[in-house]
Amino acid sequence: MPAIVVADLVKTFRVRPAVPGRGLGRLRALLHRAPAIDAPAVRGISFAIESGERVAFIGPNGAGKSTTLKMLTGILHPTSGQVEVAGFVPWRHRRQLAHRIGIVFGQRSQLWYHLPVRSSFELLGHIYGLERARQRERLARLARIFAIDDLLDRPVAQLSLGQRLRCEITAALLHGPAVLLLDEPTIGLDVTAKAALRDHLNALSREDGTTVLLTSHDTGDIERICDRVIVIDRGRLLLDRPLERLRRDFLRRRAVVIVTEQERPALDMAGVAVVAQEPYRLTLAIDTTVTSIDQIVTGALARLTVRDLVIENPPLEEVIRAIYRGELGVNGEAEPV
Amino acid sequence: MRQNLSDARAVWAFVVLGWRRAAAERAALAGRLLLYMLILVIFWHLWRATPLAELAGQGLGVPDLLWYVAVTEWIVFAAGLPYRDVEETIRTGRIETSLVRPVPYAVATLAEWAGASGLHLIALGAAGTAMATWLTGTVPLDAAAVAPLLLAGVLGCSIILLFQLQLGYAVAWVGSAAPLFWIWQKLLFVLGGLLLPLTLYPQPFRATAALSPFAAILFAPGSILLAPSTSAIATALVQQIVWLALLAVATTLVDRAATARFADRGV
Repeated sequence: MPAIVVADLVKTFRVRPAVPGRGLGRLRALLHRAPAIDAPAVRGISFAIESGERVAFIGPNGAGKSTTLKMLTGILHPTSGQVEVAGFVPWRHRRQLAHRIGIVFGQRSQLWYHLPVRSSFELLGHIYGLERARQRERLARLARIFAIDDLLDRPVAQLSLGQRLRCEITAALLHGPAVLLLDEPTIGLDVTAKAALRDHLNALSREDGTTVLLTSHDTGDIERICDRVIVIDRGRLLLDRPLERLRRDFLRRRAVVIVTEQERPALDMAGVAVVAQEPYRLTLAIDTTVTSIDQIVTGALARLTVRDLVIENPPLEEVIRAIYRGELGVNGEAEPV
Repeated sequence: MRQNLSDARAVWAFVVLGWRRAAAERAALAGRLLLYMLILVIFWHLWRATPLAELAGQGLGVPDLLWYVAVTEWIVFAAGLPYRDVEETIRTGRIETSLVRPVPYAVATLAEWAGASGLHLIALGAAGTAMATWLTGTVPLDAAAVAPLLLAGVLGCSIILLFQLQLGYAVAWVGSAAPLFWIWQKLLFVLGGLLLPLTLYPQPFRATAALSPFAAILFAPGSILLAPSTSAIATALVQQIVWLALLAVATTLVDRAATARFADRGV
């Protein structure tokens, strides 16, 4: 059963152009103000997410990610289209939906700065009408998963960003939502904190089967947490497919590193470019539309004494950049990198 | 029924939050108390240095006026300027985190303010009573009028909080709520009778002021202090309850309009 269904979703904002000039000129411009114009933010996107799926919802700045996410929560109403989240139409059943979804806005705290973390959680327990026993049990489990036991009695204001975000996600999950919406959950975190948070989140979503929809500019978040990617740009859906298929379909260039017994290894094959030639080591870029990886491996074993061979996965960032630049077709078969 | 109980618990949790927050902000509370005391001392000396012979006809003396200011300022200081919280929450977009919760933002905010104002009313009330007694050497109030006066103080403060929620929401339409607040505050001070009872205002200004909601906030509790007859108490409390009901409706409409605007245009 789908946890989220979006059909032909459209959101158009009405905006007034900025008033130019200064002083009297500005006053005149104000009196003869240009009429409001339509600024489409989301232009008819459709997708469905099954329960338990972990989906990255990505796109460049201004693509319409946050606008879509807000429509999924019910705080923004669409111009047209259909949305169902956990069986509810968000803008009609916002209150009921609130019990079924958890949200983390990476840059906005839902905790109370002046209170200890535990008190914030208690307050959230009251807001969501949780029974004490259930709340205690849930908090104990989440505190273990997100390693926040030591933080519970500290005021939120005294937490580091990484600690706070772990508490934010705990807060979003405290009432046991079926759907977790994460808007840039690792923004501003250092590498270690990011890795820890991703691990915790990944473990939790797998254990509970929580549906996760995540927006992020960080491909590490997408790779570590999600198994499907939806890409939008300028309000339109560019692509929607499993992460692995995305790599397979869109990248024809693979990197192969061969460690050899030969001091100056060389491999001359069609579709193969030498990226780096070092003593006992050869790094190649393979155009898989010309030569398959199988052929490369066979060729290398036939011509070189191979000690080690590594086929490197293409960096996701490169794929996504290419999609944003429009260098990749959205149907997979068009110009791959 | 169960849902209502759960909602009531959530609202109560916000009241407790407001109380605890106000108690934790000790420096702010101390500043509030200090300024309140200072105002009472200043007005005590000011009224004593002012020829107030014409007040004799109203049966008012300098101690009465000082106690009147102690009551009106008690209400004003207890409420504070919470509209700035709403303004800040909307401006920073933090309201989005509140809008996705099952408890409506306006209800949660008012409950939190009620908790904070409750603490302020108690602390300022105790300090104001002590200071006014010390300055004037009298307590011009029957024991029977204490409870109605306290209730009138709570109602006056509640009306201020409803007004301030609306003022905070104004930022959804205008760039800053501050200019509106300053106009509202001056109207409150003048038409509410912050420093002088409306009975001393010339007609027809007195009648106009008495019909305004501002009179229900400040003059109504003050009038209980000055003339604690049963009819005066009943008039004051009914006036307050009517305005409270009307402003509750207005606040609901403003809340709906603001939320609809956020839903249409974003925060």
